[in-house]
Amino acid sequence: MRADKPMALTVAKLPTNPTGLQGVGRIDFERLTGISVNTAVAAGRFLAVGLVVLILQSVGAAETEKCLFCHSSKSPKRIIFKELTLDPSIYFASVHGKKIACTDCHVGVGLTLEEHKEAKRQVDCARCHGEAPSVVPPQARNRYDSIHQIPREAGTVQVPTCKGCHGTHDIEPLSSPFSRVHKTNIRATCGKCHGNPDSPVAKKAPQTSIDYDRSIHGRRENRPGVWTATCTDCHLAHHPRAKDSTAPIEKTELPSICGKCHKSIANQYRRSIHGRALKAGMKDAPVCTDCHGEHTIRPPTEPESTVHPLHVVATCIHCHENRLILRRYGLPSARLSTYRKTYHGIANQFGDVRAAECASCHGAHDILPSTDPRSPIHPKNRPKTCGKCHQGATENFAKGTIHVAPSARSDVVVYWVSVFYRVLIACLVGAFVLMIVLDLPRRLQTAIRQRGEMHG
Amino acid sequence: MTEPVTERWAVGKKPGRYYLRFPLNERIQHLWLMISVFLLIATGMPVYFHTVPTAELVVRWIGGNPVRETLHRIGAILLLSLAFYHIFYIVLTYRGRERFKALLPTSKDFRDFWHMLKYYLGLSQTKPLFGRFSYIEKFEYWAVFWGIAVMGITGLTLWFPTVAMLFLPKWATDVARVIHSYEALLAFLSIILWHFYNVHLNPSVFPMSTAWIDGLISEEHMREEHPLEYAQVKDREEEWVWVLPPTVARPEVAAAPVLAEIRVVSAVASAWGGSLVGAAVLVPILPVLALCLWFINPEESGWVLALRLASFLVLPSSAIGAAISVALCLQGRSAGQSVFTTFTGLLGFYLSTLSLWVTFAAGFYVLHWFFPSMKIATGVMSVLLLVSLLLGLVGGIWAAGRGKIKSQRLFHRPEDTEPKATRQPLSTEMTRPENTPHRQEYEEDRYEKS
Repeated sequence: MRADKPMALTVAKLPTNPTGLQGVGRIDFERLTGISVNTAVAAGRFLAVGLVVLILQSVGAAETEKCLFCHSSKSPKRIIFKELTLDPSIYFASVHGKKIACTDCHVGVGLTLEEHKEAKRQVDCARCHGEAPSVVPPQARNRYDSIHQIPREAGTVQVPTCKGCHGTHDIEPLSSPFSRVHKTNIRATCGKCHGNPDSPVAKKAPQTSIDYDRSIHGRRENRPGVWTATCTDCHLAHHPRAKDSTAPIEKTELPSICGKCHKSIANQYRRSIHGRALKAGMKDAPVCTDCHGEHTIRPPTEPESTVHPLHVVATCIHCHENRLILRRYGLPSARLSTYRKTYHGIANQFGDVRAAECASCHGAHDILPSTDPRSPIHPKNRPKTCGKCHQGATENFAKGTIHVAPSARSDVVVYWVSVFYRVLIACLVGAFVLMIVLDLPRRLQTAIRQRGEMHG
Repeated sequence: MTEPVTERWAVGKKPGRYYLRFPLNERIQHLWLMISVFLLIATGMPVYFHTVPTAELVVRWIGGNPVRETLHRIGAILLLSLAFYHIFYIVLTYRGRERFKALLPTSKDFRDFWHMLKYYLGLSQTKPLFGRFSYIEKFEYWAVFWGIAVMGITGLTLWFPTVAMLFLPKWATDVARVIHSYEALLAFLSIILWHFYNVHLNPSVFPMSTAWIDGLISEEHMREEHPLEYAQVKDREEEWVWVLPPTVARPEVAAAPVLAEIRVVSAVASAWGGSLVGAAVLVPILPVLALCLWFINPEESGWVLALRLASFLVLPSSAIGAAISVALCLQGRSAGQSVFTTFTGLLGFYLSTLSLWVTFAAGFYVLHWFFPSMKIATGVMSVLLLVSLLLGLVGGIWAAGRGKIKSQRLFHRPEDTEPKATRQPLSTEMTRPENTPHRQEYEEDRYEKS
């Protein structure tokens, strides 16, 4: 963790040379006494600590008080233990301050220097906050098995453990606005790595937190009283990683994750053909993020949104023009090319937001095949669907295809009329060119003759 | 039968007897048609060619699709109002009824067409004799008549789909849309190829027949193209207009002092003017250039390519313009004359080259419908380009010749037509013809004879 955070209480690493006396009189000291500096300092500390602990024990002081005698930044002894001090008031104000003593976390602190160092590593939050029953309430007990564990198991130690997100001695209760994992602070806590260009994760997803800040969830500028979704609302702080993939969230769980807030839309989605396909185990079926994006979610009224009228076509054809998907599920092909030939498609291409795009007719979360009587494109519902824009649409709107390539089998009249016109145009253009080619030499002849007469 | 002989002095018009073929009413109808059709083509073509990136560019340039739709509908209202006006004209006025009767196709038109084919192929030495309207003009009229009817009905169906679908099933409006787009393309190609050939590129009228502006066609043209009508109307003086030489019609203009006495000034001026018109001539050909590139490669933006090509052409064209202009000036012409001749010559060159090229390109475009995988070899393209350039050269030289004649009247200097000695005082014998017959006096005044 980094030291530049306002509330961070720095517990720096022990320096490799505890004396800090490199180069200054070190050789002289060692030559004169024949004792190495390290040994001398260790011996001195040992004696001092031993003496103090003995005194404190003899007067019957509390465990925490015993530690703070040396480790308090307010203590006169603090100069010796500069890097290992903390402000006791911060610790006592923390969620652990009232009931938990230093040695409850720093288990087995011994009096030797090695035992003292060891105590730092002995800190294991899972002793109380693990899955096993303990003194802490059940909602504060978790199995920490998130995506962060994977590189950790592989030996990389830069990924955050408990203290990376929660802090150390200054842990606040979750409800406190000063807690690092409070809803308002989560973005900053995760952003320490996921929005930091120097961080190793920056290479993988450099834009993540910047995108989030611009998204409708990240901005929340218009709704001061409402806390929108933050990192942990979707990514679930201690959530177990996906069973058979390394994705942070299982695809099938997404509708219920978004549905925590967007309840009615999630229910609509579950009834739609996409929701049913997903439930049936078709992993290609789109979930919320496939259309709306993840960290870039914006309302459809904004031009940057993937579901804005001018972009929704590209979003839909991502699958509906994908040959593999079309073949696998037997979906109709040429959705884009036939749509682009309709006037709706052309106006949409010209940036006209009034023109109908995919979602205008097919619906968004409640998409159903045209054979389903609840579908907005079922022939019975078509007058109503078309009537959204074409006020007063009659059932004649349903008598014909919408975007289907005309061929000799479907749309016979359109097909033959266009064939007729193509032949007619080809013949007429040919005739024009032929007439011009025949006419030109004669005209030139006449022009040259008249010119000769004029001058001669 | 009074005979108020109209006398005019028209800029750039050869003195002579002219027949008033189109009165003001008909010229306004033509202008009305021209404006509405241009508007409709400009705002409708992007929809037909929507796969071309240029289409989006054009739509964005005119202010987006809603603006394009509104302009297209304004064009439609103009065209339909013209159609109604024209129907009233041909029903209610005597002249309109006469013209309409003359436009009805007869068996003579088919015979004329057959005769013309024989003439073209050298099987007949004579051309067919046309009346007021030749079969070409009748074809054009009925094509427009039919086109407006079809485009109007299908267009209204698309404009008011809800109303149309009170009576028609949806597939009928789909048919209307297909017809509307193909009929539009047909009209567009007819105008570009057929009408523009007949009134612009045709050597008899190149660079343009001015009949649509002043309604006049010359007596020679009448005799040549409409001999049957000429025989009927040649004695009806009230239908003819006299264009008199400037010395007769406007002595004060002809006698104006001439500035270009000093050859050096004239040469410098023509160098500047030549380089300017050499560059400026690229502007009117830009749309044609863009169109060619559109047809040849619909995937790329024709407009952008045309602009890039023009920016490469602008310096050479300017230099060539200056060179031609200076050369003409040193031959003894005034700066105005040489610059004007340069302009017409270059315009002729570019337009002739591109006219052939646009024909090839449109042909390829249509061929692609039937053979979508057809690829045109680079060799074929180079040969076609060479042929186009050759035609361009011929057209350019020819247009420069026409420009020279026109410029003599536009930038008229008395010493060009008269010997210096007789220049002053202005010949007093040259006066307006007092009464009929004008013809002999006019022949005497004809200043080319000097």
